[in-house]
Amino acid sequence: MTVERIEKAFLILSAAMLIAFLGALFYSSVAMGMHLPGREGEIVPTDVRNTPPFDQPGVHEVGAGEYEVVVLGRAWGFEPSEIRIPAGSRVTFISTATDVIHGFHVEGTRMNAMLIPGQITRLTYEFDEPGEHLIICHEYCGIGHHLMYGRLIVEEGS
Amino acid sequence: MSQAATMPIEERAPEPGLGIYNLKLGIWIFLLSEVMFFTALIGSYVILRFAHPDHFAAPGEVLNVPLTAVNTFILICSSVTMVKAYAAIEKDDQKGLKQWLLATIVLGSTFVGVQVYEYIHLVNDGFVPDAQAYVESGLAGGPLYSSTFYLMTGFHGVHVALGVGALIFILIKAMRGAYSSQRLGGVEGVGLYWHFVDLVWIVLFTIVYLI
Amino acid sequence: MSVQIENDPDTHAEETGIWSWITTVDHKRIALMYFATSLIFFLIAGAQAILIRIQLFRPANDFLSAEVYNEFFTMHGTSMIFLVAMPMAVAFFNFVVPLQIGARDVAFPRLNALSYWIYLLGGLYLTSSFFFGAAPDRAWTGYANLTLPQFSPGLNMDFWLIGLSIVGISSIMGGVNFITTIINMRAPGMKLMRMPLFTWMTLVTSFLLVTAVPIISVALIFLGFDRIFGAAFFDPARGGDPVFWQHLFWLFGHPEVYILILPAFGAISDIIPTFSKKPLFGYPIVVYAGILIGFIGWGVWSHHMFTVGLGPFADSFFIAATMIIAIPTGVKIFNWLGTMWGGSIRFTTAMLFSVGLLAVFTIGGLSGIMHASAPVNLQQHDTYFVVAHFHYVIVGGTMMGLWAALYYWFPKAIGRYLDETLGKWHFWTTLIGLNLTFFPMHFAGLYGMPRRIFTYPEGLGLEIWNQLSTVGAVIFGLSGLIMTWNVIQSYRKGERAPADPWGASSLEWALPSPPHHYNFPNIPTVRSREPLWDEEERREVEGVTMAPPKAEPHMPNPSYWPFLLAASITLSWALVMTGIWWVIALGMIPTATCVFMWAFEPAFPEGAEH
Repeated sequence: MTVERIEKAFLILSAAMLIAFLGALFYSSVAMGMHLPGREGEIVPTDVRNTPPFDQPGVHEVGAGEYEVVVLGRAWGFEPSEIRIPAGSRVTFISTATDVIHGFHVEGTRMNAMLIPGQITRLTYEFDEPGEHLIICHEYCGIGHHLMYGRLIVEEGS
Repeated sequence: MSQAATMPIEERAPEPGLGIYNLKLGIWIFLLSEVMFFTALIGSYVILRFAHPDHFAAPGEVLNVPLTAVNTFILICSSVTMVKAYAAIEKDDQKGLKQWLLATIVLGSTFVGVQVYEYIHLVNDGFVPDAQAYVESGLAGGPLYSSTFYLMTGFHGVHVALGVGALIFILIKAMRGAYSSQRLGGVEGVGLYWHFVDLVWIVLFTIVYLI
Repeated sequence: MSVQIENDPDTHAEETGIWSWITTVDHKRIALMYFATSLIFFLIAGAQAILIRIQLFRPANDFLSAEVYNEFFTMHGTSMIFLVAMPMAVAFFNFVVPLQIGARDVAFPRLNALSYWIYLLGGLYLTSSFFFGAAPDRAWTGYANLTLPQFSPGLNMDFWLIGLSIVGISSIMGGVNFITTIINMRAPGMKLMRMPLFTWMTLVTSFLLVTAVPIISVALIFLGFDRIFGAAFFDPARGGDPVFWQHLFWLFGHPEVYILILPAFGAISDIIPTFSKKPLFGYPIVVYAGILIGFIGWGVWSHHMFTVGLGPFADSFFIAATMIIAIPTGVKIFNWLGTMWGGSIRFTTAMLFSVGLLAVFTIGGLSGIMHASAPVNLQQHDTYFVVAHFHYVIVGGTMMGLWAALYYWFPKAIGRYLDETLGKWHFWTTLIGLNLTFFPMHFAGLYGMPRRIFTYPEGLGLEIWNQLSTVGAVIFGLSGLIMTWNVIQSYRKGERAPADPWGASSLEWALPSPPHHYNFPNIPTVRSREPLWDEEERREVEGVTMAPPKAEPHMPNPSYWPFLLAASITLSWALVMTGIWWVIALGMIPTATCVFMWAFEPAFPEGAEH
């Protein structure tokens, strides 16, 4: 089998691209610590409402420009259904579900996680631009799945 | 009768093939599928058990290990008798084939019988697959213990029962003189399946009862 | 040396009537039944899709109720995959593979008939759920814990899980049969590396079937234990784990994707060389790429689950594997292009569909690679972008490939051409319809439209994309009707086709159209990869295949046990729904009886010379 020069160049180029992609991938996830939504712990799903922090769903300020949002997914809505945070703040979502698996997708961002009963999921994001985002349940959760919306409002920083 | 006529079609291997007759190759491929089936079952068992060690009682606390150890021995013996049956027909020993097949059937049925006996006792003790009833029974461990137990051993038991059925079929054919050293595809095929089911049990016995 | 034959074997082929179809073990007849059945399921599932699209035409629509909508999208997905795409591919496996490798039938003809009857009855069982008002309604992925009895009371999901496990048996048996056939029953000289690509891809697909389907069976058994016997495998409240279902499902589900696409790849790898008048460019590479896809397909399942939270190492591994699996697929696309390069191309309908596949599948493949990147995946997970992606792959890949195969092999199977004018109409309505349906879904997804919603509120910017999709779906539906009409008309009075209507290279074209019921009067010897493209070899092959048989072909007996066994298996499985152990045990009796009767029935005529 003869390989022409141009073919050889293409093969080397694509192999190099692949290696570069995979190298960047492992570097970013292992060395830079860029992770996908992670499993943060376990919880008894029948007793969520009595287990801190889920006994108080809502927005909690934990430091200067730092917020924690405790989110519960249930059929068919989010608690809280409306989240207000000032622009430029760093927000950590701590979430779980009380009944079945739900989705938590803040539209227009890469915030997307499954809310899994029995599992706590943690996500962090910085909201710089003021505006309004839709929160969507993207995981089919039964007859009222289409009603499961929430809103995230990023207000002008004070 | 020509040589070709004594060779059933399923024992002919055309020229570019593997040189294994179709039935045997088919059984091997089927066993590949079975390997995947039991791998998924056993793998799930291992994962569930690692994730929820509190659901599983210590060996011997709920399950009757000595009884099942004897049962395991019986099943291993049945593999030996199956080998003997195959060896007999390889030497055209019709009487030996029938005797050893019968022995295998008796041992296999004993295994299934002991398993049924064990199930009845366990159910009477409240060791049931229903999670709610299990919790109410107050047995050690949690509901995952009983449900995985019945799933693993139950599906294996069904395989043994199917194997006994196949062996009875082979025995009836043997009594009609269907096999000889030149036509033993049926005996070999069922034998392969039987040894596979045995092998699975050794793994199951180890992880379900002993560990 | 020629032997006088007392009974002309061809007379058996003329047997007609419903009984001859029920008892047939002839792979060609089984193939026709497979195709007809999957076509009917295609029309049913397609009608469901159109109704879904009408419902989504405008915001806050109430054309369907939410219950019916959920049943429709669940049954649309389940049927299209398990009752249409897979069995339609099996129809072609059945018809083409024995002819391509020079065999008179498959290795286990009765098992083959059993596969078909189980598929038919299992499919009917699944579809019959509509008549009980209990059609499955929890999506084709059946994610636990939504499928547990607390959240899904009623028989809906029992129908789903039992129906799928019945159909799964048929797939495993089909896989065993085709692997054995291809490995063991090739004509002399047909080495592995001389096999036509369609046969090769059948082999790879069969291995995937045999290894992947048991895993979904196990998942369904777990779910059945939860639903019917009250176990708690997927119930987090009682120690189970819902994510465990997702792992099992996608461990099966991703190889399943390749089960769907590889037959189409195989078909167009035979069709493109024929209509380019050139041997396949880089044959060994295409074969190895196919095998490689089959292997790597096992290592990518968790890219369906990036939102679950699996940990950095697991996520990175699955990202890498997903990028890597794109390579063999890309290689194949370049090989097909290389085959056409400089060839004298004839754009018959079969060729149009093959070229269409290259274009449309590539769009789906590219959006697939986008999903390999986890951050992109996160934004699109379970939005309409994903719906667009997999419809491009399955409709633009699998279905286009199968339709190419239909136009290509129909003349061989029936002895008549499919009408080419209607065929062109079919092609263009398909191409326009599917792009108009699925391309706007990318945008709907990017605008944040989640999957599986019954309706959507006004003012989110989703209206226009959904309206375009609905219009496209109607056009696409029309293309299905054109094809059905074409098949029916051409079957009855299409133009007669000669033995080799396309000037193709593989063995099946050396037989009359339609072939004898015993396929090859005498088994030819093969000396090359394209036996009919070498003039000398073609004369040699046709000298054998067009001559009367030298000895009476030894064909298997017809049998009604496959049908009865399939019926009793379906009955036995259906009785599991009761959840009463002694009913289940009694229900196994007819199955056991049929197995014994089957085993005692001789597969071949007694005392015949082989």
